[in-house]
Amino acid sequence: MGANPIVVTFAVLYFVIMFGIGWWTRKAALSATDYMVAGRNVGPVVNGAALASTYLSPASFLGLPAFIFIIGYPFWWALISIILGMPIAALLTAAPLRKYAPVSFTDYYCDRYDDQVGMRILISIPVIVSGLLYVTLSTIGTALFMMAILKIPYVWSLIIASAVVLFYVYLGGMVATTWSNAFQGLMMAIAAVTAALAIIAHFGGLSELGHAIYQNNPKFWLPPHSRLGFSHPLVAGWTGMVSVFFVWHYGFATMPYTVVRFFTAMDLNAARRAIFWSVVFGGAMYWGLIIIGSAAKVVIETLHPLMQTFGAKNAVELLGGLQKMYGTTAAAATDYSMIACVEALKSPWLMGILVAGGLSIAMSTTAGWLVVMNVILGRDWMGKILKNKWAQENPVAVLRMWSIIVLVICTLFAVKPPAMVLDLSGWAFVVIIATIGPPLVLGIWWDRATRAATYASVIIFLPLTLFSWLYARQVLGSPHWFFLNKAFGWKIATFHQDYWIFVSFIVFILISLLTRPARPEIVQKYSIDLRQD
Amino acid sequence: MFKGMHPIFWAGLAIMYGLTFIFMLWEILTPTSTYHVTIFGVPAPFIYNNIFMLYIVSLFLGWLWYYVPEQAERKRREAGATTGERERRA
Repeated sequence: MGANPIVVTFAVLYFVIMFGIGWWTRKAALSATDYMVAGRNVGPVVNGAALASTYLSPASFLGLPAFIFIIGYPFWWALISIILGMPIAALLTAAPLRKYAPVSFTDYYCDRYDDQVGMRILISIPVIVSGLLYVTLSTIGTALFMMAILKIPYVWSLIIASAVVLFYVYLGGMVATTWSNAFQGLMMAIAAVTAALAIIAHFGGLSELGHAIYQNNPKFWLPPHSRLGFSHPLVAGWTGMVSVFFVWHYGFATMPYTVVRFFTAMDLNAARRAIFWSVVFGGAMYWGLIIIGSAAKVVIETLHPLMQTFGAKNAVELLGGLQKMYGTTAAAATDYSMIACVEALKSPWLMGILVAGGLSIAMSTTAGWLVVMNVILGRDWMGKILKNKWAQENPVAVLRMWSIIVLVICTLFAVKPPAMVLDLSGWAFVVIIATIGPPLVLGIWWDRATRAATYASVIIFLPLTLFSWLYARQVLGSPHWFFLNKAFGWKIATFHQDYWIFVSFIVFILISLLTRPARPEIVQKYSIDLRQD
Repeated sequence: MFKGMHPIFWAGLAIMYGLTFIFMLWEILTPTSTYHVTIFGVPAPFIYNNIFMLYIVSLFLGWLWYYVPEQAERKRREAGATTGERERRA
C-alpha cells in the first residue's frame, strides 16, 4: 500500500515551510541572546502556540489516544488534567521567571541557591537524562508518522526527520524554534480537530458515536468502582483515576522545555497571556485526541481496509499486524491506533492533514528539547563549568555543535531502541518534576528554601523514582502499579509512580526547615523581588 | 510560603480542583455508568468533561490568571501616578 499523492503533497509542503523558517530566521539569530532566548521579543499568540507544540509531544499525539484505546473512558481525565494544569504556570513560574530573565534553565537555581558550579552540574543531570530520552522518543515519533503514513522505510524516516529539525535549529536557534513551533502548534490543533470532526460526521453525531463505542465495548465507559465491572484493571479503583490526573498535571510549570519559553516573552504580561493561547491550541488538539482515542477501536474494527487482509478478529490484532508489517519495535502496536483510526476513514485529505499535524508535534518537541540541551551543554558546561575559551568566545558555534552531537546520538539510539528506552519516557517526566520542581517553585515562593534541600531532592529522588519505576515494571508487570503492592498485598494503581511528586515537595520543605537558609540579600533578589509585578 | 501570591491564584485552584473532585466523585458514585447519563442527548462526559472541563474551565483559568494581575497592576500604576501628582502639587 503506497502513499497517496495528496498525502505526499501535504508532507512536502510541510517540509518546505520548515526549511523556509530555518532559512528566513538564520540572520535573526546571529547574537547569542537571540540564538538562546529569541531576543526576548516573542508575542503572546506566537509564544502560546509554540508553548503548546513544544510541551505536547508525540506521546500526546500517539500515546494518549492509545491509552484511551486500552484503558477506556477513565483515561480521559489524564488529558483533561494536562490542559487544566497549563494555566497554573501563569502565576506560579512564568511571570516570576520572565521577570528574572535568565538565559539557561539552570541559571535560576545557581543564583537563588548561591552556588554557580555545583548547582549547575546538579540540575543539569536530570535535565540531560530526560532530554536525551525525550529527543530520542520525539525523533522516533516523527519517523513513525513518516513510515506509517508516507510509507518511507523507518531508518530513512529517522534520517530525514533529524536532518530537517537540525537544519532549522542549527541556523535559527530559538528564533527558528519559536516560529516553527508556533506553526506546528497551529497544524497539530487543526489535524486533531479535523480528524475528530470527520469521525463524528461519519457516525452522524456525538450521541451516535457514544452509542457505537458502547455497542463495540460496553466496558469502555465504566468509571472506577462501578458495579458493572471496570474498563481496565488499572482503573478499577479510584487511585488509578486520581493518579492518572496528576501524572502530567504540573509539568507545564516546571519542565525545562516549557520554562525556557517563558524567558523569550517580551514582558510579564506577554508571558502570562501566552499561557492562555497555549490552552487555546493545546485544548483544541486534546478535544480531538479524546474523540479519536475513544472511537479508534470501533472505527478500526468496522472500517479499516486491512482487517480482512490480515484476518484480524479485532483492532488489537490488526495493530499487531501493522507493527509486523512496518518491521520495527520502535513503538508498541497500540501506538498505531490513532493513525489506523484516521486511515480507516479512507480520506487522503484527512491523512495529509494528519501527517502534517503528526510531524509538527513530534518535531516541535525535538526542537524544544534541543535548544534546552545545547544551552546547558554548550553555554553552561563548556563555557561556565569547564571555562573553555573557545566556547566562551564562540557562543553560537558551541550551541550549534551540541545540537548536532545530541541529535546524532539520539538518532542512533532511535534506530533500534530497547523497549526499556521507550517505556522510560514516563519516568523521564516524573523525575524532572520530583527532582527540580520543588527547588524551582519553592525557590520563588518560599524564603526558607535552601541549597541543601535542592541537593537532597536530586540525590534522593533521581535514583528513588527510577528504582520504584523499574521495580514496578519488572516485578509487577507495569510501571503503573504502586511499587510496594507486593510487599503489602495491595492492588493500588499509581500511574508512573507519580506520588513521588508530592513526596518530594514534602521532603524538600522538611530539609529546608532543618538546614541553613540563603543569605537575606539573595532571598530578597531572587525570591521576594520576583514575586512582585 | 507563597507570600505575595495574588489571591486569585487560590480562587482559581479552588474552582479547578473543586470541579474535578465533584465530577470524579459523581462518576465513582454513579451506580450504572457514565454512558447512561446524558446531557443534550449525548453521553454526559462528552459535555462536562471533554468540553466544559477541558476547554471552558481551562480557558477561563488562563484568562483569569492574566487578566486579574494585569488589572491590579494597572490600578497600582494609576494610584502611583495620582499620589505622585499630589506630592508634586504639595
